Amino acid sequence: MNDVIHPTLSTTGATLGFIVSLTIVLISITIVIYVLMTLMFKNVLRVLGPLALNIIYFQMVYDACGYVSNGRELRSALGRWYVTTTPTARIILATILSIICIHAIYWILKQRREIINTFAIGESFDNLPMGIAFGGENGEVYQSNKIIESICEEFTGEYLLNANDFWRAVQRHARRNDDDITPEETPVIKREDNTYWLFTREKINIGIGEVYEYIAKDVTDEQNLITARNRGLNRLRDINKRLREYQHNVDDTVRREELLAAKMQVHDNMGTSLLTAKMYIKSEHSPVSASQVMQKWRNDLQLLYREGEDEPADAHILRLQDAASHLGIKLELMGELPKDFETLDLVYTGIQECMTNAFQHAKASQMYVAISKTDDEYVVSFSNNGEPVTHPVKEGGGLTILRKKAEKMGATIEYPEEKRFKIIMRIPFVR
Amino acid sequence: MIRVLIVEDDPMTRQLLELLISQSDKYEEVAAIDDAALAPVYCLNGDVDLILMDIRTAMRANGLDAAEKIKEKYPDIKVIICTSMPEYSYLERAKKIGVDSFWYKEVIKEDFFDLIDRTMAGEHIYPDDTPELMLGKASSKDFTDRELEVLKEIMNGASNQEIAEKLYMSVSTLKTHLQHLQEKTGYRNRTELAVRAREIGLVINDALDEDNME
Repeated sequence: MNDVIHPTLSTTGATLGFIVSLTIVLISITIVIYVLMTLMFKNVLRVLGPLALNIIYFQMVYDACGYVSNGRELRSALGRWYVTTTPTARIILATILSIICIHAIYWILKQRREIINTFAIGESFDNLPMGIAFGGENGEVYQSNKIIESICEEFTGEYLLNANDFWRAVQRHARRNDDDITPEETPVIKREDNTYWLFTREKINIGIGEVYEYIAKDVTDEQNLITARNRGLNRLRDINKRLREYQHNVDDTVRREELLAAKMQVHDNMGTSLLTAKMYIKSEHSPVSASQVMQKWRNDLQLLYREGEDEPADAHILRLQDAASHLGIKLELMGELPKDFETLDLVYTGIQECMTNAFQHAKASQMYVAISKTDDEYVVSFSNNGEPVTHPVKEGGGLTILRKKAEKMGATIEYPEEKRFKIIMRIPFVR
Repeated sequence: MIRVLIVEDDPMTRQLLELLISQSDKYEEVAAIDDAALAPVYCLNGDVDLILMDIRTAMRANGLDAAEKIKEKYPDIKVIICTSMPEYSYLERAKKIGVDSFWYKEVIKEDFFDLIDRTMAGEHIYPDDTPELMLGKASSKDFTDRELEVLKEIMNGASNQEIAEKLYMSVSTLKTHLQHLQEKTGYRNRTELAVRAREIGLVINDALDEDNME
């Protein structure tokens, strides 16, 4: 007990300063150790090391305080050293340790920010510009952010509790969507606020098993561009369609223009003829003869007569009947020829082919074409009174070409097993 | 007598040809029709020795397609193409098919009977070149073959990608051709180019009518 050191600090202020500086020193050393432990041992020692040291230092503080305030005996070596050292040395030590302590606190806070924990993940999810959620096979939601939760509420009226229900709601909305841009797996849906969202669901492996990742992405800008592009494409299609129609009609247009020019010419000629006639009647020594005047009028009248000639309404039938008649075949047509050009052209080709067949193979004198209509198609039958045919009918070049042409239009051709050659063609109405 | 089939959709020209044939004591008219697709039917009974064939006829039928069929089946029948359409590819195709003679109705001043007499004697009479036309600021002679092909395809209303694929060129090459066409003609866009080119008959996209002749 001879080594007991007696108090050297007698005033209350000095006692208080001693306690404060001792506390700072202890806290600083604790933090430094904590930091060192964190760097060196990561997990268990990071907690246990400082805890053990804190118990020791607590004992030291208790020791030093007891000595200073109550004159109790100093038991620990560190406490004894600290009490016996000079005040200046204590202050310098306290200052150095305080600086180290501030740095350590800063470092710890920084470390905390960089450590990813559940809350940090949730917070960062909420800051994403897209909706995201992870769910299990049975629909349990493991993680989700505010955006996808609000979309779920909009679509289902409920919180996002079951990811499978959410995905079903997405697909329901996709089917309801007016725009024709919603493939099953990646639907694009217009929301109530007129924004467009692209939804995807993908199964991913996260190491401990498979989960579904749900993503909702705002594609309003892209969608607006697509809409504008589609509008442009539609306009282009329309122009192209008109261009094709123009290609078909231009000959008629040019012919009409020529006819108009001819009519204007007739008008001018009539004026000349009138003047010539007037000159001939008024003048005794007219430079033109009566026959010249008559010829002018004849020419004009002939042109006027032809001007009124239009293609007869049954021109198509007459054209075909003339051709048949050239081959010595009488063509009988029952029903009306289709008005739509494509259908008319197919029937027309059918008649030509059957006419060739009736002449070359059947040696027919009569050919029959019957055209009728059902609710959605034309039914055209071609037959003749020629020689019997053997079944099944072998298609040659012409009939094969006819079939191909018919199939292009969605029409069908069949050969009923009748004594004489017959074709039945069914042509759907052109929409 | 040489038997003649007239295939011409313009009534005035048809009547003129009928008139000319009727004035001859060497030729007689078998029929005068306006639809080239029916011409092979008229050849079936061996009545025809010579055909005066227009190219663009009624029912959108193409006289060159009909001529091809006829030449295939009846090579002895002489065919004279009579057209006012200066489409650049018609002349070449007619030669390929084996058409006997080619007559630009509006520009050849040769005697009509001299033409058909020589054709019947086995000669092939073709004009040296297609008639020169003006498309905007440019003459039809100013265009390259490739530019004319592009011009023909834009008649179809196809997209750049489709045309490029069909003509085995890149889209950027196609755009260059289009740009040259616009620069040469002074037209502002492809639609105007296509419409004007078709109006004057410089290019006609027969592919649109192919189905009609099958």
